[in-house]
Amino acid sequence: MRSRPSSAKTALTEQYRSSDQVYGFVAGKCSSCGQVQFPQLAYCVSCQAPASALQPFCLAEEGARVLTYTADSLMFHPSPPMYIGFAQFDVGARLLMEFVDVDPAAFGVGSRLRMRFRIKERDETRGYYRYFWKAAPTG
Amino acid sequence: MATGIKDKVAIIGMGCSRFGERWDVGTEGLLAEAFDEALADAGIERKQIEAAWAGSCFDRINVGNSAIPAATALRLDGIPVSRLENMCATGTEALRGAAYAVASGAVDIALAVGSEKLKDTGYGGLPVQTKGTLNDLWLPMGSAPAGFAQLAAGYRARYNVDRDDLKRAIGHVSWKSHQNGVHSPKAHLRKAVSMEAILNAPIIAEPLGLYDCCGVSDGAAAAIVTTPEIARSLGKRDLVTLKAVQLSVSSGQESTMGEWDGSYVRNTRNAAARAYREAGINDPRAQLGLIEVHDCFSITELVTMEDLFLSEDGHAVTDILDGVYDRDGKIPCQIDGGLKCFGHPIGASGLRMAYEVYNQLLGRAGERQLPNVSLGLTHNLGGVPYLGVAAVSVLGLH
Repeated sequence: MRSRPSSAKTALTEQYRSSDQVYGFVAGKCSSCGQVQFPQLAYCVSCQAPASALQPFCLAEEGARVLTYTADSLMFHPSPPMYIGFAQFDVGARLLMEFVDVDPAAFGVGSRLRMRFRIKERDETRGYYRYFWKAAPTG
Repeated sequence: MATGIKDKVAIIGMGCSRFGERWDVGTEGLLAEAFDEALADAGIERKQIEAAWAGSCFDRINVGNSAIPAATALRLDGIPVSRLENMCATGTEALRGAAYAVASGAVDIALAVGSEKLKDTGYGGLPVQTKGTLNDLWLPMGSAPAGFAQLAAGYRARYNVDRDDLKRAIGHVSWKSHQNGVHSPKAHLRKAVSMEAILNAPIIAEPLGLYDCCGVSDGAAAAIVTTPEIARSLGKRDLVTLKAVQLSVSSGQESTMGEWDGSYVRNTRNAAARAYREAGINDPRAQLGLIEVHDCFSITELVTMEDLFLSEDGHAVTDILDGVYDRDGKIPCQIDGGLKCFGHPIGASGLRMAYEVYNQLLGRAGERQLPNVSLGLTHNLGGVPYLGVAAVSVLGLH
């Protein structure tokens, strides 16, 4: 396993700007085509409608399943290996997430997931923890 | 209507440094090794080069940002030089820039060069990079093998492939490249490895073991391009021309929504389809004499055989185990050892692939020489399978 990477210096202005997305897990639902998407960018990923068409849509309580995954033994993780892969939400959104509380014997493509608010990283420069959402098996 | 670049650009000289742990030279020295060979091969003088495209990815551990360091290293005085970066597809991007300049008529002779100096970091694998201020707040920080290992899970799920069967197939991918690498004097890893060693190696990112991952290396490669007419006027008889150079970049679809299920790389399919169209290839399996693909990880090469429309969907495992892509197979793949064994200095790899195809086409590949090669393909991938860049080139005899 690699050593712990040197801590990035968080862009606090970005954190302020994106606090709904990052802390509230607020995706955008396109009012033009219906696609739910995370993160929200300037245009809809599906129909290219402008960001003004994206309505807030919280993913925190939405159901999801494992689309792909691996156990990463190379990247530093406090509790190796790091499980990482795509969470496919039932509402159509999809994103690369860290999987936590994994029982390797019972985990695989198709496993059901629920969202958990967890520590993502410690910003050593500023001395605080950053949080984001991770996905855990429902079992 | 656009007509593409088929046969509008000839490669008249190529060079490639020795790849590997090059403690003996800096980036400038690597660039010079590739450049000197290309210049001698082309039979021209430095002052005849009218523009250059210089690719490198990790600027902070190379010669630095901008085109100035490459222009200074190679003493390219006062001509337009552009520095470019498109992750691991950077080398092909450099070739594309130079080729487009010649095809447009903007210049007569152009240089493409790519380099990377990874070993001076004292760090195994690739350095961790920021992915942008917003992405850094939410994207999990996985390793490169973890990004590509997603393909193994997606592929197994889609085609119901047993883990051990997939492991054997991707093991064969690396076994074959190690066999080939032995015959490449400039390769980083020149050692045959047994299937037993490959299958029992430590796991890096499940199911990828140590031998499923390519080496990262120091190295540089270069190409000098012009029009076929000027090439002839320079006395060149056997001409290698570009039949196609195509690129596809993710817009976020695979990683955010849609049909992608992890079993293929959409960008490769886009770029390959366009490249075949540009080159006039309608049966790639029958027409391509060799391929150099982006085997950053063995699973990448496996799905690439389907993404290039060489194996039918779901049949790459059996084709690989049947030896279709071995040295003596129907479509030899990684005849020079590939990223796996020739090495992977990020900014140089696309041009290194072209270097092997170019030499094979001209019958200059030494003990690696394949019989009757008239058309070859390079496939250069950047980023990760679900958010990346794919570049596909076709080179052939004119």
